[in-house]
Amino acid sequence: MPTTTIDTLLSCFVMVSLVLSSMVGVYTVVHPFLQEQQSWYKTQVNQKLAEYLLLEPGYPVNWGSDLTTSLTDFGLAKSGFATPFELDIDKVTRLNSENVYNVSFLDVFSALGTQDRPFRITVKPVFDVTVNLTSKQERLTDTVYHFQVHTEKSNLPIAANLSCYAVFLDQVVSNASSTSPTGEGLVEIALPNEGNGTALFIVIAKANSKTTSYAVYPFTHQLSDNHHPQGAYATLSPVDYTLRVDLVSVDDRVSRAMVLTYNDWFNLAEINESQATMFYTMPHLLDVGPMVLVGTGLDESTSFVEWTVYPQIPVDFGLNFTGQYDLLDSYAFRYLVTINSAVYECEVTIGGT
Amino acid sequence: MPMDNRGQIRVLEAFFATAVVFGSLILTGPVYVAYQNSGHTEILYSLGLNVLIEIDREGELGELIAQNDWAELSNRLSLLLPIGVSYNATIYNENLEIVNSSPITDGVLEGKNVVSVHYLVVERAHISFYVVNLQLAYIK
Repeated sequence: MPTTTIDTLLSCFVMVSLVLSSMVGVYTVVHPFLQEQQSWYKTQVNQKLAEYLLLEPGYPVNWGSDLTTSLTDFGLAKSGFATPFELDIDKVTRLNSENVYNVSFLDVFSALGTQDRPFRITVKPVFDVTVNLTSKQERLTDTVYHFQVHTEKSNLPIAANLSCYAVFLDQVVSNASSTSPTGEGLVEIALPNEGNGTALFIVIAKANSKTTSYAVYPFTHQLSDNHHPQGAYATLSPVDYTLRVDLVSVDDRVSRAMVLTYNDWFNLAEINESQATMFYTMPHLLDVGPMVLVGTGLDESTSFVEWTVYPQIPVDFGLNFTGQYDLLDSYAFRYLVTINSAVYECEVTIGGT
Repeated sequence: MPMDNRGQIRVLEAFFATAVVFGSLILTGPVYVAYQNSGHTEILYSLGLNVLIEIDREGELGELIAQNDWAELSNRLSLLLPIGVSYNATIYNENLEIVNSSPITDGVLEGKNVVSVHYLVVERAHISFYVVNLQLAYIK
């Protein structure tokens, strides 16, 4: 065989190898591009859907406070909002399953009309407040409780101003304090030694004029037993600046309802009452941040206290994307939203098909 | 050219073509990396814009700038931005002169993959205009 033929065969072999290897190489390089493009497109679509939920009021536009008309289009934005990401206090509240007027996920899912996009919405304060009862000192006429308050965001301490209340039956005791840059603060509150039962220690914290959070800590006053669990006597459901109290037993009625905010607190006026349900009207307060609603009463000689917050946050609504297959194809978007002039953190998770 | 050398030249041509193809593949790598990061920049941009909108609600951002309260502005950015995102903000006036006398930063902004968000602010009391240039980056 001539040398030229061998060389030609060799060069043909190299050429064929080149074509095959270049095909493999091009595929290797282009494949991530295509994947990225597809992923980018999915991210864009899901982000638009997440923003739609927060920028559209839905229909009826006041479906949060309108308890008679059924929801036909889902959106959480306040009707006629001035700036983006301003959510309606009642629409967010009705996402909370503890509220008797809550909307079901099926209704919302149907109203949204995107059958291939399950979703989850969580709304929570920007930072967390935790409370611990460190000690108590019983004196002749009153008992002094010492609480340790901790403020943090994602495990990093932050400084905040605190407005604190202790509520026990007909008594409300207030105190102001603050947490240092290490996130630690101490609060001392004295309750008169009259009666016994469950009391509440309420902290409303402000990191700045619009960033607020809260914590409610039940404890027993002059009682050796544990405090009663939340909802043992009544369920509190605020909507449209009206507080509905659903009693567990007709014998244990709420004798007093009040609203506590960062700057002040007020008694609520009862507007309607049936055997198992009581209604109170709430004032439209200009105070920024959460309104803690408290109802107190007597179970024989032991006082009880029930509470909720308006807007009823934290909220965790929708599907739980924790399955091993769900996590593979879900997109989470974080937004800051404003509800009742206070900033909250909202995370919208959209699942893929 | 002698006839016996023709095959060798073809082999050389083949190897040269191989080098060209693989060289081009290597050169496209940085393009892919740049493309891959484009999604992250959009999310950071959206995040930065959302934070500025929230701070500016009811004109508070303009008030903070007018009061030269850079520490409070820095505190608010630190509080509202998620952990893992570093920032550096620069405020310009209408003549595009830097207004902030002290840095508004968390001090860890890296030079790579930094996203800039430009936001026009109106200080309502004296109707002054400012431009906020908020630079964001993921902490690596």
